[in-house]
Amino acid sequence: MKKVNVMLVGVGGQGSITMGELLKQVVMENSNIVVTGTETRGAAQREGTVNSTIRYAVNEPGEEFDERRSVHSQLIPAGEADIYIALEPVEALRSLNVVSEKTSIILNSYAIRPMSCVVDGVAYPELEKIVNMLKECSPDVIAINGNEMSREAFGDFQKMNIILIGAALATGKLPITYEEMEKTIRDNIKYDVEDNIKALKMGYDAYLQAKSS
Amino acid sequence: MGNEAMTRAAIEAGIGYSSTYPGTPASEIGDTLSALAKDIPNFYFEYSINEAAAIEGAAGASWIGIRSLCTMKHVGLNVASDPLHTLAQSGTSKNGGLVIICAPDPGSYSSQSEQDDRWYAYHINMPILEPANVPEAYEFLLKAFELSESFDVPVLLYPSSRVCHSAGKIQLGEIKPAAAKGVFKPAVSRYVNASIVSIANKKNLLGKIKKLRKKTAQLAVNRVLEGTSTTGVITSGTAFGYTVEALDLLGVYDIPILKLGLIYPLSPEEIQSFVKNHNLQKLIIVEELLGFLENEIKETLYDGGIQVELHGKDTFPAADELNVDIVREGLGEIFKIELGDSYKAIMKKSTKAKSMAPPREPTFCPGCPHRATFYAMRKATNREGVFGGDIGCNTLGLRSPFALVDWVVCMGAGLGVAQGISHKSDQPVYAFIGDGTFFHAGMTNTLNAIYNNANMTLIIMENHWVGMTGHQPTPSTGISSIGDPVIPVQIKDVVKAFGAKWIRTVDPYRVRSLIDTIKDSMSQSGFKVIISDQECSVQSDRRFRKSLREKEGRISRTYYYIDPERCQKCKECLQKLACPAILLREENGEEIISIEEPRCTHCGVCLEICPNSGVVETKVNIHLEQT
Repeated sequence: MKKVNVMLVGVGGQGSITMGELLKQVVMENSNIVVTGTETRGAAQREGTVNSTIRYAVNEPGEEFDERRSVHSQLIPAGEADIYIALEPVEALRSLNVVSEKTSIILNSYAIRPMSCVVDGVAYPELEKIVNMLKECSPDVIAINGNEMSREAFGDFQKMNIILIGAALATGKLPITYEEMEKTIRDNIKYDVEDNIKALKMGYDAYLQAKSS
Repeated sequence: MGNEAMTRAAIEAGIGYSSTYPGTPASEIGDTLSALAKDIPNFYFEYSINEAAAIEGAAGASWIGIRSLCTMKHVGLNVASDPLHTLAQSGTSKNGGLVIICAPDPGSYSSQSEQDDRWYAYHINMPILEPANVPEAYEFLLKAFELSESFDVPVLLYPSSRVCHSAGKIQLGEIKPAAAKGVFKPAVSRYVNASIVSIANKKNLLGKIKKLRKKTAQLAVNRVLEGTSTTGVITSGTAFGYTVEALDLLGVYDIPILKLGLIYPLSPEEIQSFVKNHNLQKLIIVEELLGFLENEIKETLYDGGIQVELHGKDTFPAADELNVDIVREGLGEIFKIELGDSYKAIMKKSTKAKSMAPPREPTFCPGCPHRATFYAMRKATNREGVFGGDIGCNTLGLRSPFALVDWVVCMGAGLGVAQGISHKSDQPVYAFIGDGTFFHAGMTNTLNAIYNNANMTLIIMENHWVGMTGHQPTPSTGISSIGDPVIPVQIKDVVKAFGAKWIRTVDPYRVRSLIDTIKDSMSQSGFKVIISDQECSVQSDRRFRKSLREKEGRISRTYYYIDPERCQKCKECLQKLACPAILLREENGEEIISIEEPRCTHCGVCLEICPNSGVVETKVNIHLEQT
């Protein structure tokens, strides 16, 4: 039995709940995978810090289910994230307790300055410093600007989430195939389906390109 | 989602009545039932005005043989507790089980407190089932109805926020249709809880709990994960999962674990034999929040004459949410297992990274009418006076740059406390309240303040939705609990009927007019009401985007942008209004303030407040046709 943990961090309103739902929905029909996970809702949402977790316990075919080695907690224990997706740079700094050297970090480099910076004049750290800090926690850090990619291709930010899911797929660590994700998007997203499928591919390619450069 | 799994179970159980007051983390149960209400046979659903109304209605249906479900967040039980203490004495009925889902919020992510509702079990004498995950939430809800009917008591299902908002897989069962109608049969000795009847009913209820203690095994909700160690764990709910994973990370697999599903009442026999049969020398109790199980278990062991080294809240914190790491540290301490250098290094690095990050507190969404109201309040009062805050999105007015919330207590207490101060202080006194909260707990306090002639101003922030919990309707929305059009209640008429003399209704997007109105109220004595009336921008923006998407209708839309030539960079819009759709960036060493169009909801408040005409508007008529 193998555990796969995905942590999503971001700002309320960026769509991390939808991302988390897609990443859980995709394994609902797969009887070899136990899934759990949770997300921030309610007061914590309004432009504040939000987290989502997606946790899979993958049984090899024929392997016996072992309750003592499965996933139970909706939260990820320290250092146990396999993929850490940060939708916003300073948010990437807040939950690194789940990151260790085995973690693939995907950073959406589009900054949303918190009110403490805009109103009270606290400095927003430079992107380079943030990336260096992330690299201190895990060497595997890839930064892409999903917001600008989405705006360029579709005119708004709405597809940033799907772009990031595409990037997460490209790590090869998710217990799902690209085709399964594509099908889940077709089955669950009501609007702009073809644009979302395109966004998934854009994110997948962008990750591989960034990785090879 | 756990909330959807419980909703499904309730429908399968054949509920004919369900009531709720929305509250995170339980909101989605009511929302799902509201959306499905017309498709469920013989089903009635309501968003009640508050939790007391919700539980009373559900009990009524239960008494006449209709299975009823009442859902709320943990603090909602405080409001429902008054009727519930007595309703429990009267019981349910043979086919009309009454189940209450009360969802706690350990860590207080979306609440004013993380109170531990399990202690209500002692007051009310009410069984509590606590699920650990989504499949259990589904299964326990079905069992809760059986328990409620076979023991003639209301049953509390207690899924923590992590269970409500987590994913899992369930096996769907058959849907049992609800009975169409029931008939009330008067029974003074059961329903009229006065004096002698009340005592008799209480004795009867205590008897039911005593009987249940002996029959917990029949419910099959408690189980043992076998192990050969002489150290054992008793746990429940999410703490069970944290314990199993903490043991996995510590590499310990031989600890016997008693996982409780029914956390009140406990079976002394079950606890005692778990300790005796496993020859336990040490017993560890892992539970969220206070030591509720610990208390019960200690009593049980004392009664059984059992001596064992016991750890619970001496090791694990009684405040804030638990997680695998906290439990791992606690168990590591008891087992004397070092957590290793890599664990410490991770904790050290992540703490360092966290200290680099500027704080990000939640704030109002772009276009939120509350932002405009707080901006106007700040301008009109210069923050001189006393400002009572309340529950809901408007609590966020406590944040910079407004800082206009002096306290937050519970629904309605912004006004309640303010009116007390107004009688004994010469400071100007203001209180804020949203329309949802006004109907929930504000009306009685408004009447109290008017009747007692409090010298203060009440600002009712009427955005026509319960915003924070996901946009449920209020009586002033114009939509029924199941989505049909209804005549909206006019808050102005309500406060007028209560006797308010000075009432003004202002659109907060017309900021200057709102500032003038607030100033005007300051020159009056007595109880003043300002209704700041503008729909929640999330809802109005959603409708706008939907019509764009579906390409239907004709829309007139005003777009705003900041003209870099005219902008004087005074930053009034950026720092005093603090709209998240307004950005500051640097270009060639020069500061540029601009509106991020994809985030803008076109409220126009930035234009209204710009002191030097830097914000420019363009009116656009969009004629959409289906393509």
